[in-house]
Amino acid sequence: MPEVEYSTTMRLAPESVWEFVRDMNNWAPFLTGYQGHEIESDTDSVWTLKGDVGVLSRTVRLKAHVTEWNGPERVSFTLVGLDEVVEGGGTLTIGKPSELMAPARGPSLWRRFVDGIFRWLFRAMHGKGPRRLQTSRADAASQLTFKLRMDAGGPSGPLVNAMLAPALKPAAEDLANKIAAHLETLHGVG
Amino acid sequence: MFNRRKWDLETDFVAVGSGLGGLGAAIVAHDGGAKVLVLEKARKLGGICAYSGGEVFLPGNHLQAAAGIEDSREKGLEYLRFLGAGYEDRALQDNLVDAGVEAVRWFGERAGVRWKLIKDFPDYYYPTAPGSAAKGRYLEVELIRGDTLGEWKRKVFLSPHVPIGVTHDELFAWGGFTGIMGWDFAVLGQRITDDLRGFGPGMMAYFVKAALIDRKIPVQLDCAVRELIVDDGAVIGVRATQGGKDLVVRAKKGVLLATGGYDWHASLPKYYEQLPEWNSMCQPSVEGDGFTMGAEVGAAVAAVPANNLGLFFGYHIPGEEHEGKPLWRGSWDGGFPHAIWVNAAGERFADESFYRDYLPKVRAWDGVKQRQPNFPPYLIFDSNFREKYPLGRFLPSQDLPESLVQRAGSLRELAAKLGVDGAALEATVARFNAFARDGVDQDFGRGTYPWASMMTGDFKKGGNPNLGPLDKPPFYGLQLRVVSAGINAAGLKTNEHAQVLHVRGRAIGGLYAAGNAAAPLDTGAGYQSGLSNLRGLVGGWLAARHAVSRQP
Repeated sequence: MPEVEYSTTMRLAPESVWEFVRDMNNWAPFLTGYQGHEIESDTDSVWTLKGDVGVLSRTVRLKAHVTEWNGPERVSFTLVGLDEVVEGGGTLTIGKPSELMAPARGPSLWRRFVDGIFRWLFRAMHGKGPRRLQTSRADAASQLTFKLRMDAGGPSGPLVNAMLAPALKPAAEDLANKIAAHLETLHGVG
Repeated sequence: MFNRRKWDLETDFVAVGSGLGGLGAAIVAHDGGAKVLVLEKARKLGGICAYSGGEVFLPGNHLQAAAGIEDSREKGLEYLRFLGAGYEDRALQDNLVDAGVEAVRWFGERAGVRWKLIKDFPDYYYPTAPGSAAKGRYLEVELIRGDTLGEWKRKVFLSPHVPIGVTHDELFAWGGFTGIMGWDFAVLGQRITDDLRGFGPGMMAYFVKAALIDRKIPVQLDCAVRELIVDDGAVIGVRATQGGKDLVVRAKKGVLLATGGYDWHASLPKYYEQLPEWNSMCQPSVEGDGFTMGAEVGAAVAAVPANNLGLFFGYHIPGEEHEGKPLWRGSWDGGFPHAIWVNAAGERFADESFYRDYLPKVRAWDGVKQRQPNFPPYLIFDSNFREKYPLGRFLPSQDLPESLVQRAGSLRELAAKLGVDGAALEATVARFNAFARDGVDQDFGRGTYPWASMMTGDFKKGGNPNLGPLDKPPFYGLQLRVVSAGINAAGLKTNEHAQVLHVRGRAIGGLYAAGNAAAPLDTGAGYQSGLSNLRGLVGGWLAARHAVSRQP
């Protein structure tokens, strides 16, 4: 099952980040390939995204259901494809930067290289996201972590998962960075 | 005079286009001692071949002999003459086989292309056509790792139309297209993760590796050649645009137009293809550039009867795009059991499993009513089909979008939704169901051709692999649309050296055409899959060999 995690830090108090994140209307347009969304209730919404699956772009509709609404620290949600046999979920976590969140030993050189290639490809396909330098740990007041997993079901699941996997990491990175860039600009701390 | 022109670049041989014809020619010209440049309009390499099934159809190829399969040049040409039906240029057709055998062997030995035979895959018209063979004439490539392409790995087209990371033999062993539920998706997924490429993307990976990695042949992407530069009746260079700037390139020995056909040209399909609409499976960069530039310098244009081409019908699944344009998928579904095609009158009109049969019949013209009565065709299927077979990317029993497919509890209700004659559709289905029970399609002979059955039949069910009744509601239907595979009826007229001919009959010095940019006079009135790739390969091979021996 493709699953990714991306963290970024900001010079903002976690409460300020939560204030923004708690209303999904604020950040929905920052989702990769965002086409539109409809709020159905406090916990349910339908998202229309256009993303690359394998070698073509496909518009998909995903139903999001919030399973945990625990401000100012965490939002968890599940995703179910309305037209595709796909399900998944994710978590947006806001907290203070901690050693726990910054593993002492980073990913391998090879892993960073592979991730770098995917990021580069993603930008080549979708255009550049906001340019933003990572806040130094000394300045950081909060950390935003986005976890995302997607799992294609049915007999062709392994094939679809293989095609989905390269797109997830850049998508998670893009969302977290866009939220951070927007908030830092909004609060004049960028 | 043009020799005072300020050239941005000077080289010996320019290949316009990076498909099989363009890159093949670049490799041959390079090894012949020429300085070569490849100019590609798209942002990726590979052209239409990279979107294709990657088959090369070649009677008398060297792997047949090695596998102990009997064939001959004469037998192969007999079959090609049958396809040509008198519309072929025999010298050009001979070239396909003679130069093809030489070229395929050369690319294997010198350029590292790992050819393999597709096992037990018959000619289209086997066993009825003279010279047809049961097996041995189709080549494909062994799987190749994307990693071998280095920095070019992500700059080569992958196909949205064919499975990647698998060979024909594996696919047929897994159950073919009707047997998708038996495919080994875990293996396919792992191969995508490992970036193993077969079919057209695999073929082009070998040629990109040979040209760009092994030989360091320079290539410019996003570089559209707009004009041929002519001096004293001969082509001496090209003007291209890249990033809004002109790039003027001198080509001392020749320019090859390997630009593909004209699928995305605004009007050429209407003039040459005899159908009221045109949609394409190809990259949007296939706009007939070679056709236009050739005409500008006086090239002769030739066409064969439009039923020669690799045309399908199909559909666009809302929300699917490639290269910023709607993705059109070819439909093979009509030949699956429990499915038929009908016209608006509710009547079948062809063997739905064999596109060589239905294509000309869709085009048939009613001269009294002044219209094409079989256009558009409608695909009709039932719940037996839905439970067993895929429709495009929708697996059995997966919901079909209402924007694509109509659904109804009865055939008459379905017909009303589609705008088809309901009473006639009921009668047609009743007649077809009787054929299905008997295992013989008395009207159109579905299941006659082994090739068609391999592509669209279900061998696991027993009996005629292409017949199954439509007797389980709900019923489904959709109007099919023209979907071209980029193989057009018209192109630039060429001679036995792939030189482009002037309307006055002489060869235009320094100008060559290969593949779909050249008129398909070597195939004539018929077609057979793997011939387009062979035409590209042979055209490029001939052009490069002639050009390198030419004095500037």
